[in-house]
Amino acid sequence: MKRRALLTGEPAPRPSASLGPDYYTNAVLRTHEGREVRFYDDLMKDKIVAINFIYTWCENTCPLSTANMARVQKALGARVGRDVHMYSFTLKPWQDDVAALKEYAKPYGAGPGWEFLTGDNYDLETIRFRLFRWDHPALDFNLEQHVGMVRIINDRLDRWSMCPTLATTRQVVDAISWVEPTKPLAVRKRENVATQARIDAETRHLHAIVARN
Amino acid sequence: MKSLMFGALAAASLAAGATAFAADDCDFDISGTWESAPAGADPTVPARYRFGADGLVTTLSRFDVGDRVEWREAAGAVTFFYRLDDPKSPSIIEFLGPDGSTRRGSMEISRYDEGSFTTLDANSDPTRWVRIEAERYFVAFVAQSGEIRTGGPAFAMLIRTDADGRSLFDAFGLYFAQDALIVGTIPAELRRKFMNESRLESDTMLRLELTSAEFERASKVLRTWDRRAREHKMLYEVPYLNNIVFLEQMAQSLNKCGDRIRVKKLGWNVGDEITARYNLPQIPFYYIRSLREMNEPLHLRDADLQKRMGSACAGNCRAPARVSELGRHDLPSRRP
Repeated sequence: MKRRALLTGEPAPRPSASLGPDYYTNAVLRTHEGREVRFYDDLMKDKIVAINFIYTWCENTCPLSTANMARVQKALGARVGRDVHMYSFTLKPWQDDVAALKEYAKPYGAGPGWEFLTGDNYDLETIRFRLFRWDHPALDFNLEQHVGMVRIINDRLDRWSMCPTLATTRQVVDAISWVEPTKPLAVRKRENVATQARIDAETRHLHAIVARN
Repeated sequence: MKSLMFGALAAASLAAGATAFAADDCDFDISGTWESAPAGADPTVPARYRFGADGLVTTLSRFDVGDRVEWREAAGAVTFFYRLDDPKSPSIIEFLGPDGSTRRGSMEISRYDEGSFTTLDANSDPTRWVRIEAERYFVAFVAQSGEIRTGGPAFAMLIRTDADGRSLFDAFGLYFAQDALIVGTIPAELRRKFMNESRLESDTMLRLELTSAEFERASKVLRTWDRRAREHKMLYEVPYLNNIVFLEQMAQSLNKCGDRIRVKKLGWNVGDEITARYNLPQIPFYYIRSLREMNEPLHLRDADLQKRMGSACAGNCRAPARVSELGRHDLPSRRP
C-alpha cells in the first residue's frame, strides 16, 4: 500500500488474484441466444458469477432450481448483468442445443445477465470439474449430483462460495454477498466508530438502569 | 444357403423381440460382410454375403490366391435385396428378388450384437452370422501392484492389426519417470515390457480381442484422455484418480452395447470390495485383476495374441465370439 493510501485509508487497487483462463479454460460456448462466447474472457474475467448446471429434460431438481434462480434474479434486480452474472450450463450438451435452451429459459423469464449455455461435452465436463469437483468419482460422474448447487465466484479476488440452488432466495443472495469485495478501510472505520458509539450508548443506558435500582 | 434363404418362409413370431443392445450409438448396423454356416451345411465351407447400405445383398465366393484366401464377387454371382423391419433394432429380415419387390423369403432375427446375429427359419436350426472385420482389434489392461504407497504402472493399450499383419499401438495410463508420477501416453519402451504376460503375483493383465465397434468406443475414451493430458485439462488434480476413472471408462465402453465383455463398476462406498479396501495407488491393480477374473475365458494368452496378431487376415477376420459361443478351437490355450 502506498503511503498516501495508508494515511487516507483509501485502498490501493489490488492486483487480480484470478486463476485465469489456464484454470477456467477459454472454451468456446454458445448462449441460449445463439451468441458465441469464451468461458474465461467473456463470462468470468473480473466478474462476480453465479453458476449452476441443469439439463432441459430433467424433471426433478432442475425446474425447481431454475425457478429458484429466477427468484434470485428478481431479488438482485438491476444488479444482474452489472454486478452479478448468472450462468446455467447444460449437463447434457448432446441433447441441449441453443434452441432447446432458449425454449427452456423462456418460462423462467431469464433476462439480461442470465445466460443458459451449451457447447462441446469435453469443455463442459472440464468446466464442471473445475467448479464442482468433489474428488469422489461416484459423486462427480453422477449428473444428478450437480444440479443442486450454485457456485459463486468473484474472479478478481478468487473468492469462492457455494449454496444449494433450493435454498431460500435470501440465502442465495447472502452467499453471493460473501464473495463481494471487502468495503474500503475508511468506510469500515466509519461504520466501526458508529457501531461502537451505539454499543457505548446502550452500555451507558444499562449502567444507568442498574444504578437507579 | 440359398435354399435356407429362399426355400422356406420363416414362420416367425413377430411377438418374440430380438435380444438387443441399448439405443444411441448401439444401434444395429447390418452394412458389411457377414459369414454364416447354416445348420446342416458343411461348416468348413461357410457362405459369405455383403449387405450394402443400399439394400443389396451380394454373394461372395472364395478364391485361393497363392497362400492367401480372397472372398469376392464371382462373375454371375447371385444378387438380391434385403429389407429389415427396423434397421436399428431388427426382428425380421426379408429377402426380395433382383427386381427389389418380389418377396422371396424372410427370417426372424432372434439375437444380435455388434459382431453377430442369429436368424431363425421355420425349417431349420438357428443360423449364426458373424461379421467379417477388415482388421483385428485388441485391448490390454495392465498393472503392477508396486509399492504400497505409490502403486505401480497401470495402463490400457489398444492394438490394431491391419490386413497385412502390421500392428499399431496406443497406450495411455499412469507410469513413473524418474520418481515423477505421470498420467499420459505410455512410452513405447514401457509398453513393450508388458507385451508378454508375467507370472508374478504383483502383475496383472487382461487381453481381449475386440469387435471394430468395441475398439472404436475404447479409442474414443483413450483419445479424450490423451487430449486432456496434452491440454492440461485433467479432471482431477490427483493423478491416481484420473487414471482410475480412465481405466474404468475404457472398460465400460467395451460392454456399452452388450454383455460380451463383463465389466465391474467401482462403487466408491464402504460396501465396494475394491475402493473400500485399497488405497488409491493400489486400486487400478485390483480393478484390472477383477476384470481378468470376470473375463478369464476371453483372455488371450501370449501365444494366442501372437498368433492372432501375426496372422494377417487380409480382410477376413471373424469378429470375436461371446463366451457362450466359443468353440473348442476358440478357447484360449491353458496357462503353462
